Amino acid sequence: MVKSQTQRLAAFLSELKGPHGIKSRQDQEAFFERAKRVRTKDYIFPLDIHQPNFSTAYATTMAGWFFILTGASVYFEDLGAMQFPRIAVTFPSFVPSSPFDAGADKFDAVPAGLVFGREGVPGLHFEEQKNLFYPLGDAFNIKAESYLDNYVADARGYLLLTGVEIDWK
Amino acid sequence: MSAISEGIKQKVLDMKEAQRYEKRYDFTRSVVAKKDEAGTLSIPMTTEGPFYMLGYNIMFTKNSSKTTAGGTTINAPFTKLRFRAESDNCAMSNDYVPVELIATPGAEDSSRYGMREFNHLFGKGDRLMIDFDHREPDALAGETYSLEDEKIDIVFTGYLYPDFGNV
Repeated sequence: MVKSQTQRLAAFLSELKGPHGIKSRQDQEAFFERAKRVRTKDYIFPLDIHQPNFSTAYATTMAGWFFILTGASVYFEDLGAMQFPRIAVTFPSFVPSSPFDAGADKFDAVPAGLVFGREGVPGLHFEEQKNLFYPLGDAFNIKAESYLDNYVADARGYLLLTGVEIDWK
Repeated sequence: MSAISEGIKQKVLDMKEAQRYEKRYDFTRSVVAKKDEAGTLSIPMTTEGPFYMLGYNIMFTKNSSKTTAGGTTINAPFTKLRFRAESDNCAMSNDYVPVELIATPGAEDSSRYGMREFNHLFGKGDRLMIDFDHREPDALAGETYSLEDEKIDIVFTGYLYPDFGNV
């Protein structure tokens, strides 16, 4: 049965709902207020690896904004065919667990190719991993480490942690 | 006229007159990152209403190159970006992010599939600030670099709220 113009319009309008639909001004103001206070944020960690084949970088989340870690990406330049980076992320002095494990030994850190792997080495460029959920807090220290198996030369890498920050004011 | 038709008419009038609706909007800009330069581009957003960014896509060229310690020459973009809104002056990343890390997975000059999800609200008449850094990186041992201008195309995708006013 061919729908009439009125029926098609009615179907279209019925799909306009939630934040995507016709709302009262009060509702839209509430939506914008929430949008102002909840936003995405990236934290970038440069991981230049020199001798003795590991690198450490720190960042502090924004003061006054609660940060929830929800995703991560990593990529390395300059990798040889048999070089495999390992990634560890920890939260010094607060949360005992971590998204990418860092044990007592550097080889406890997760192999980047297994966690993020899509293309493998060399020249890693990984898809974003989105199955993280770590409610941290504000002004929160994050420590990122990387180790390189089979070090033969310096390597440049980056770890990008992505999350949502929320203004509590 | 039936009650249904009256309801539809009222909704359409509400959309037209009160402008309380939203529409999809692609906000696009091309940037040429000049070699050995760093700076900030200030780009006016639409004055039609607030823009709620849901994400972005980035394409870039790889005219620059580097020669590794092993003597292999490969193309690399070197460009780093940081976005922020002028109104809140809050950067969307704590530092410059290499364009490769937030842009098209895959080969140079390829189109991106999907969208990098990233939520940020821009008020009506706000300005998008793009900080870029296209200078030679600190050299790794044995590496040399050759920088050229790079063209970067960005599409910011989201919802536009016409005539809502300044949020």
